[in-house]
Amino acid sequence: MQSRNTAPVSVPVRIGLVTDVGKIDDGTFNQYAYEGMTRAAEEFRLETTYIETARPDDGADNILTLIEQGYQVIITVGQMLGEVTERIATDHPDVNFVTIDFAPYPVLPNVMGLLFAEDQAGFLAGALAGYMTQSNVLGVIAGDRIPPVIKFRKGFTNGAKHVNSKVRVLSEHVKSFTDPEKGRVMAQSFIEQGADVIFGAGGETGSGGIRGAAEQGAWVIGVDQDEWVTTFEDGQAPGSDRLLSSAIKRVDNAVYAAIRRAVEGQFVGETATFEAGNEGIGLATYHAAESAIPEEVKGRIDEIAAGLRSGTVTTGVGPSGEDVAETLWDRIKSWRWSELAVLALAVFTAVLIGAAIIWVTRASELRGAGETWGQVIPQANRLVLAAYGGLFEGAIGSPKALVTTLTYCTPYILAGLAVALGFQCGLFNIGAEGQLYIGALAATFVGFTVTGLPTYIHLPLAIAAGMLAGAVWGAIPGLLKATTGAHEVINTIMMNYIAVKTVDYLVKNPLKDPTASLDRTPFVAESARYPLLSTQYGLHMGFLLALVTIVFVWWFLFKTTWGFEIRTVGANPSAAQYAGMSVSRNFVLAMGLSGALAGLAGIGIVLGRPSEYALKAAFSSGFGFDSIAVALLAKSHPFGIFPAAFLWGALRNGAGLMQVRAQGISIDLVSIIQALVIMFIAADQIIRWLYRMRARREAMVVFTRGWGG
Amino acid sequence: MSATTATSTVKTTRFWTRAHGFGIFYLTVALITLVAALTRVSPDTISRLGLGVIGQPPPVRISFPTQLSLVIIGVLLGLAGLYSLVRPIGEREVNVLLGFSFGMIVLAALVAAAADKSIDMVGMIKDSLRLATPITLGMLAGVMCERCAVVNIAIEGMMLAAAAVGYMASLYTQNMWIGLLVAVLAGGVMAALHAVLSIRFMVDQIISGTVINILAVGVSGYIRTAFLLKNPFGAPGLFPYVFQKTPLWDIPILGAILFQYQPMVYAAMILVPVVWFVLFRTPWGLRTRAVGEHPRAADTLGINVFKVRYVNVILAGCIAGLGGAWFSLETVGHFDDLMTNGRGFIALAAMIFGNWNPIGGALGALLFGFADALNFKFQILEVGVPYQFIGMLPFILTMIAVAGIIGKTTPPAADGEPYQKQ
Repeated sequence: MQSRNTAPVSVPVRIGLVTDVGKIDDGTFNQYAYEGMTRAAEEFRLETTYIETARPDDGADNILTLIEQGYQVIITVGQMLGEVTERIATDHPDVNFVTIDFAPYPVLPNVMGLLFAEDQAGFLAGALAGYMTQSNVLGVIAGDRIPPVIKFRKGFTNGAKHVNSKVRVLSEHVKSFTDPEKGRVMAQSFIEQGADVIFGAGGETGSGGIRGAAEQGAWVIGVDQDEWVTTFEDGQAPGSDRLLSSAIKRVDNAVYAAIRRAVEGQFVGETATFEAGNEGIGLATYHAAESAIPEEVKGRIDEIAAGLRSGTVTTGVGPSGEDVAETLWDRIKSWRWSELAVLALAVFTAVLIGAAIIWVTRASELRGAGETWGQVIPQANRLVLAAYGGLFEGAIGSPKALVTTLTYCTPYILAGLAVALGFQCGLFNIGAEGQLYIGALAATFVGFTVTGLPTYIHLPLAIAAGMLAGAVWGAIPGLLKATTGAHEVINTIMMNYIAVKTVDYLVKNPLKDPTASLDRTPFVAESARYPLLSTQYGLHMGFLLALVTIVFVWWFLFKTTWGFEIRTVGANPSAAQYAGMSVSRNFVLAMGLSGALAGLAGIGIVLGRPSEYALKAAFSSGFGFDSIAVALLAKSHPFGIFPAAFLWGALRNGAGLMQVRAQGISIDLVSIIQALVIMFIAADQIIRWLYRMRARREAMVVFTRGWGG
Repeated sequence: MSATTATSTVKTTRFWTRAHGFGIFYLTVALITLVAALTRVSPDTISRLGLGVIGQPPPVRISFPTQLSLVIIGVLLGLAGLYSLVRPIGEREVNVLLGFSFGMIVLAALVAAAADKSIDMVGMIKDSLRLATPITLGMLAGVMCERCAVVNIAIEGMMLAAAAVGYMASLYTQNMWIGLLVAVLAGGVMAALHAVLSIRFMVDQIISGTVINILAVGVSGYIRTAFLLKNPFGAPGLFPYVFQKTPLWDIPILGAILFQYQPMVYAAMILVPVVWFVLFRTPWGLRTRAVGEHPRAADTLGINVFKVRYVNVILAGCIAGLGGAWFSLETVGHFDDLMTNGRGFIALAAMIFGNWNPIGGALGALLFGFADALNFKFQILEVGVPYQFIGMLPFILTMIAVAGIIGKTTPPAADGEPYQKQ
């Protein structure tokens, strides 16, 4: 088979193409890719072939078939084939791959990923629509929620708003790219809601929609290719005169360029982005709508295109479809005020129910003792007031109470940050408890075995050891999830028990202080203890450290590339994969950091509190679940952690005085209130329904994806 | 449609299969057994395992050399590990090997524990069964929920609340059986809350489970201080032994192993086959599993997805309620804060361990029960192996099992996904 090659082996002459599900004359980007290949083949006299993928599962076999047939450059179309291509490319380093809409990560020497700035194409289309609309209502029929489609949609919306502030954009994602009927139905519904320009960005679904809309006389805009040629059959189809233009991804140019580099021996494994600047995207000609579009509008569109090319106009959409907030005002506007109201109402409602519980308890008791309602009611009321008065006073009623609350809330801050960081990556770390134990264990060990160092060396050393241990303990479930897909929830729960039992064993046997009657380690050296901020009330440096950590975690999550990757993986793992990020690496990283933070929480308890300074067998309990509650209350945002942790610390600290003031009321009332708070935050529909607030439409981050990941 | 569908069909050979995971585990245990046997045990040590009536010298007593037995067991385990790693084996063989190896591990633990001593086997079996009961009941609750695709990490909370509320009822009515009924209902109520949150409000099921767990700690603790501590009545006692006054009680050996338990043990024994039968041999079970695997398709066939989920989850809570009664009404006779002590999470582990099957899960629960029993034995006998390590074993095993199940369709396909009608 190889013998027919007369050219040097390094110069490829046989090019194969595997389509996304669909055919090479689908009128969308399979066809464009095919045309790019054909153009290159004619120009460089190459031998080409293609396989049309019938079902999503066939992609891998099709690629392997081409490899077996001796094709040296293989073009795979569509994000769905991206990962498959990546894997096969690793096993076949001698074959070059060009993959469209996918960025391999890490970069492979034999794979070239071609990405497009769909947001720019959408932005131009949106600007055109914004100028042409009379009703100021636009419609977008979008395909499945994958990054290219999201970028088209958001780009369109932002483009329309860029030129027309009154415009309103209706949009809907359809799960299928091959459902023209659904597209038609959706177009109909948009028109009924007043839309007079419809943008179809969802393969055949979108094409069906714009054909239907055009037949009814609405302006329409196509996508990917010039749909005048495809969907509207070179202007033969009814409604062709209503097609304004199409937001084009020049897949043909991109494929042609990639093949040319391969032929010229310049093939480099990298990700190339095609955008306005290199003619990778653009608007198609206006065809029959040419005369209907005012010259002024055409001029403005050209200006915007030039602005996109030079970078003076930006679309406000990031590389994987995320919003890029630009000004401070945008950011403040994007705060979800109603969510803050829900949080406050959740706490308020939980406190109210707590009051009802106290009231009912007391009332039933007194009724049982035979008193009349007239006697019962005032007494029950008094108890409620006494209980909450005590809770309040015990928590923040005096300097001592306030400082103690701060001491209480320190581990909640750190463990809450740990869970929140996991949440940001889409991971549910129920293992804070175990990581806290292991962190405390390692720090204590360094604290009492090493002696003779000054504090400024010994204490950081102990902290580092503890955080490292916590990080390792946390990273294990992350690694297991990344490599085997095992769900982190089950593994972190299991590792909690393993940690507690390990500490139990060590503290009772090899690390036990032989002089102590209690099962505990020896006391840590003076030099390994946190300096006290207030010797009177026992507030230690750990509190300040926790505040610094909040800022650090915020900076890390929102200002660094690593943090950006973690958040992207958490928001949408497939989008992250698309953008070239390693989901596995981020799982391990996020769990490791989470474990380090939880470890720090444990370190603070042992090295910080004068009542501790040594590790006891059961030195903490309940931090695992409490920290989840804190993170939920904070909506996983580092700056939300402090108020949430403060509330938790205050409830815990005030519970003592509450019990004193309201005899017979258990401190466990606090746990009930806490559980209700989380319940109302998790099921905020209850709160919105109770207080007649508008419903929220966005979905939350999903953690439960079955145990197998 | 998504990238994951494409990847799942690519034929890649993963190293971390169930067989390999267990294989490595067997080899590790084999190595530990061999090293321990050859270095820590002197050749003339004798282990004695007795079978008989507790408190009397056993009529049957088997004695054998500790070191030789451990070496034989170690070699057998090593062979099982190598076989698992080297041969590409099917599901059936993996399970057979699993059963065999765990039998061997159990035996090794017993032999080691009985070095220079005598261990009463009947007592071990009884303790294992007894201690496996709450785990088994919790496991059944987990299986019923997850088979219809509702993830349940709230078993612990359901059992804890049931233990407290059931005990309170029995205290105030002075009737154990009303207490039992109320415990079952309390489990059902907690489960109903989980169901409403996760089905009606589509709260993430792990968050919902977390809510139930925290709420149960609060409610049970509150009940203890507000109602139980100032209890005006005497304690109601424990469930009676079912067969105490019958001739079955006195059958030698067999009577002790089979007929000397309180009712929850029998409830667990009966419910395991019942739940299995309902799930795998009745129309309701078929519907449940359909809802768990593909709710949309089930809906299209006219199955009421929401009804199936609500009924299963609430019934599961009732079963967990029986587990709660085991703690306060059958074993201890009063209520302590946090008395379930993580058994609900172990039940979850048993469920995963048994591949979401009641029979497999029961075997898992039995293994964990045995580990518990052995744990106590080790503490009493002061065996060289720290009891904490025996206690850790179930958790490590679960992690291996979870790592090994990937790439197979064992957990219900839709597990954890809220369902929305279109």
